[in-house]
Amino acid sequence: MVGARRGRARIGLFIGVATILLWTLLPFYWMLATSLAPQRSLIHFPINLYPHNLDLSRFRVIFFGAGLDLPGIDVAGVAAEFRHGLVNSLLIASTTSVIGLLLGGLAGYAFARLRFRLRRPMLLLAICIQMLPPIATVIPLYFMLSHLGLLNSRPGLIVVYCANSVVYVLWLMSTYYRSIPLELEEAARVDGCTRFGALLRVVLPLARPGLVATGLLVFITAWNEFTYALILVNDPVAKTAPVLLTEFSTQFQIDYGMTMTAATLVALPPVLLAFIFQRYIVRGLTAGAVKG
Amino acid sequence: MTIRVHREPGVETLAWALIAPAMTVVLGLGLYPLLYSLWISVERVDLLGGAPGFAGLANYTLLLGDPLVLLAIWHTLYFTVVSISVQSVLGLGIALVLNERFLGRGILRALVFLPWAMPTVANAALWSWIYHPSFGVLSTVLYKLGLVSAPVQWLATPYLAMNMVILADTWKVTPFYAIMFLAALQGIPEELYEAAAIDGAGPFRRCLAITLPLLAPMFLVVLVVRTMEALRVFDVIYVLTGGGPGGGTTVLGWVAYLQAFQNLDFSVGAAAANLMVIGSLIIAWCYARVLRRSAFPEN
Repeated sequence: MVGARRGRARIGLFIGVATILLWTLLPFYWMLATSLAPQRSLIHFPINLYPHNLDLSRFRVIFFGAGLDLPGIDVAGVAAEFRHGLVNSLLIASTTSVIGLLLGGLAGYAFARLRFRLRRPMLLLAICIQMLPPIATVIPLYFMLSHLGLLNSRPGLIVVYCANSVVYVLWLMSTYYRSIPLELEEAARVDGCTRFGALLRVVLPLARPGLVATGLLVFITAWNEFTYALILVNDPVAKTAPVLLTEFSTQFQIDYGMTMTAATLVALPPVLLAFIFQRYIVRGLTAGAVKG
Repeated sequence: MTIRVHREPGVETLAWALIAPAMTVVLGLGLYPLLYSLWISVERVDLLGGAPGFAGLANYTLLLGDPLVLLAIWHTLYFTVVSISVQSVLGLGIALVLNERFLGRGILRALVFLPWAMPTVANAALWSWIYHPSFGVLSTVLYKLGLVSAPVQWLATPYLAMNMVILADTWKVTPFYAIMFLAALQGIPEELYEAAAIDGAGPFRRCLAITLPLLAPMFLVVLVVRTMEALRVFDVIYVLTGGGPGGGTTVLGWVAYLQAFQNLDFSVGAAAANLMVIGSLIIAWCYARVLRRSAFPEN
């Protein structure tokens, strides 16, 4: 009896695991398979569920600018812009992570450990502002950046992303600082460190795992961001990869082969980071929630 | 002789020095734009001519009198409620499976998390290809299984389109629910289950009496985060449907974008965006009340 029930439970579990695995992986598979499928095999129904022969020409177009003849669309042109867009995205996301960590990391320490006037109201204000939807601030930001001459530029986008990441960083880091024993800091101060010195020499080195997790979250968020990038940048010089990914199309139809190739390349960095640094990232996500 | 009470010198100064750069950025690029946006929404800022001047609440009444905007509000609420309900159930199911012991659990946990890292646009583009009206793989698979006889117009039917958008969104964000729920599940002491089993509670009863109540705080947190995200839905609509077909997936964020950056009527666009902010505020306030009540049930 018990054996039978246990056996049934194992089968149920197996079905659950298999379903989850397929549900998770099939869309990834389809994105990659499409990017590698010959163009002709993408335009008949029912479509081949796996590519019969692999075609790397789309990746070649994006990385080496090789020609690819498709009627009605300047693939090489968009591909070159996209390649530049990947560089833009990398520059913007990494700069945002560094500046965000610096500003948010320092402010987070003050909110975690120091008592000062307006501490709670300031924190509350910051969190409320963090919750604003991008579409709500993008209209005024459009005018502001335009006045500052920062529209259509990478610095403009970096500034906006920093504003968005700073609160996130200071929130996550302040919960992380609180997990570091106060005695260590006090010991450093007994040994003659100033408070700021103790922050630099004792707290920050100990907070490295928290900084890594937070930095990764900020990088992934900035890399993936779309709304601001779409509206605040309308110049190939500063366009980011996610925006360019939507431009592999003519007026009438989307070139799904190229779009899936671009999607694969845009998805690769964040997905790879999430896979490698999963422990850090999950800890960051859940740490932020516990105090919420 | 006076004893000087040792007061920490300069803590206040240090604190302000530490938060000043961050708060400058937050206030300058968060609070100021919000106030600016409120101002724009009561002004007439129209790049296509039209006399500038004070408009009062005209832009808001204009929006709320437009049946298409009311429909967009309904769509936004529908998207929020349906997607969060479906994703909560799926996320809980996945978390419960991942909490069991089985071969390859570590690798499955790592894989399940990955869709969360997909850029929203890449995800939307992928699903628009999966839903393609002529060559979509979803139609192909259903056709090969003998469930349909011709490709289905997934995104060309208003009612179907919104649900397909929700499915695309669900694939990407369900891992977030699963990971958060799993973290909460791992925090439940094993002894509780053992004690319940000794008292004769079956697996279903144990789930109902132990797992779900102890999951509630984490569930509330996930609910708050996800509601704020769902109300602002825009990227996935932009790529998948462009608000169509026939306004069938027009959400509030899309209205704001369309008014401001397609029609160049920034005032009406800002007003639409502010409606979203007001809606988010109301919901955040409700959640805060619930959170407070669940944290201090005796009050």
